[in-house]
Amino acid sequence: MLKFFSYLLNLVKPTQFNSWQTFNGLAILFFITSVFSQGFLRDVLAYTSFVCISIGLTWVGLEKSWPWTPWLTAALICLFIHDLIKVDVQVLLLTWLPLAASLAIIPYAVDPDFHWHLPKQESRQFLVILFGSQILLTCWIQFFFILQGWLVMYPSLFVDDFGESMFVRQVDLGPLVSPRSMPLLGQLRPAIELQLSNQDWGTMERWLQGLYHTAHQMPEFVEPALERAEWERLPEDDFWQVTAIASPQLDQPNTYQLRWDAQWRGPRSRHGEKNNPYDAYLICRIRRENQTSIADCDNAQRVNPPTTENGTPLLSQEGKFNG
Amino acid sequence: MAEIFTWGVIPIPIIIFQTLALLFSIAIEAYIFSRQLLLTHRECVQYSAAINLLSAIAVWLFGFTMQAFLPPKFKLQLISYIFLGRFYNIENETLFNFVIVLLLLFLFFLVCFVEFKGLDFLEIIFSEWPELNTPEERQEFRQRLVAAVTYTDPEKVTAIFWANAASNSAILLVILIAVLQYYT
Repeated sequence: MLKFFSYLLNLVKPTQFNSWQTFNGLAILFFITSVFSQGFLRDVLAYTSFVCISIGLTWVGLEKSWPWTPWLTAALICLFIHDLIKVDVQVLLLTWLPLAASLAIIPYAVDPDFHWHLPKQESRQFLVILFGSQILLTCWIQFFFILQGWLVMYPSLFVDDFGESMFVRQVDLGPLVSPRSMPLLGQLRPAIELQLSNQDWGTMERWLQGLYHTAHQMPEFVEPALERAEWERLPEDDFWQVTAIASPQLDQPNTYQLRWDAQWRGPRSRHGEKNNPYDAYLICRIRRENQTSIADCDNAQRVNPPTTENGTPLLSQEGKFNG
Repeated sequence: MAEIFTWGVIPIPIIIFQTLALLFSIAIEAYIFSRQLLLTHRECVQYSAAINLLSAIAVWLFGFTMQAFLPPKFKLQLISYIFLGRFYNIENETLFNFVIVLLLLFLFFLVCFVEFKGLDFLEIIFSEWPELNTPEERQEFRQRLVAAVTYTDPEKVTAIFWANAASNSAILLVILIAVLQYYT
């Protein structure tokens, strides 16, 4: 224990004034004072502390000649810029590696008296390959961001299986992801209940009988309902098809069942064709009360809900996504 | 921005594949350069590594700009292929395959071109630089740069063409074996 503390003390105790321990010590001092101060002063002290720890850590790296010092320094610079002016994380992640490569060039291109000169012939090959590799890594990071952007446009694809892709793998997020058919039907549900209630029973019965046997598309119903519900439009919405089919409820007189289906018409994998993770349905019952109709619906359900490993459906988690 | 990180899709397979493909083609191309160009073994590997990195970056940049300007219909095909490994509802299959083959050919020649011009510039970068003090020396250096852009050395072009053809066929062969294994 004592040894550990003396090691910690060594990290901050300056051996001489002009050393990295001075900066680390200053950083801790500024940090402690910033904790106990408020407002603008607190920000200034915190930033000063951050600058000090950056200088200190870079100095350690240079003195002990850690090979990854440029990456550390570049990361610290990026973090500092991120805190100072609110730049996107994406931009910072993309600048980090090229910045590190540029910093790594400095020892080759600047001599100890701070005179700029061209890197020596034998180190140029190494520097070109270093720079190229960092830019290639940046390309991979950018590809990652492009993938995320695509998923923001087509979020329902995530419920499918990416196993056949040569490019990407999914990180298992468990049953937390649901296709957009669920919120879509969830948004339609109050509109259905509102519009089909308190209608004249005769007209309602004729309308329902017109929906027998085949599923009918309902654009005149869906579009206005979604517009009213502040539904966020995404490119994938073109591939959701909402249909309705009616049937008489045999065990109860004067009651009809109306089933709404949200079907995915977009791309799906072989696996997705087999076990259909996309589609969802909503069952409504419309019954007669005096001369008017009353409609009430169940929660939206997935056609093929995900199951746990022992085969029980995950209904409890599903319920969260109905609203 | 925050919602982006809630999605869990990572491009690990393509990163592994590209790393292996790069190692593969650096080795093959270095071997062919050592046979056809007057370079030492060490230089061959360095040149080959540098220009392969350069061409990989060029292909990525080409892809990034392409996907930004693709019309939505084709972009959906791209997204479908990258995520699900298959295209979506192709109406005219012959034409589609033709376009894919053309695209791959274009990429091959893009890689050849980038590697060729990259090699010219790398030769200048790696060579002894003159002291750029007098106007004559500057003039001479400028002429060398212009020559690197305009002059085409047929021997170097053939070397790069064959090196690329060999490395890409080798990688294709590996993919083919992998795919065959997958389907049988």
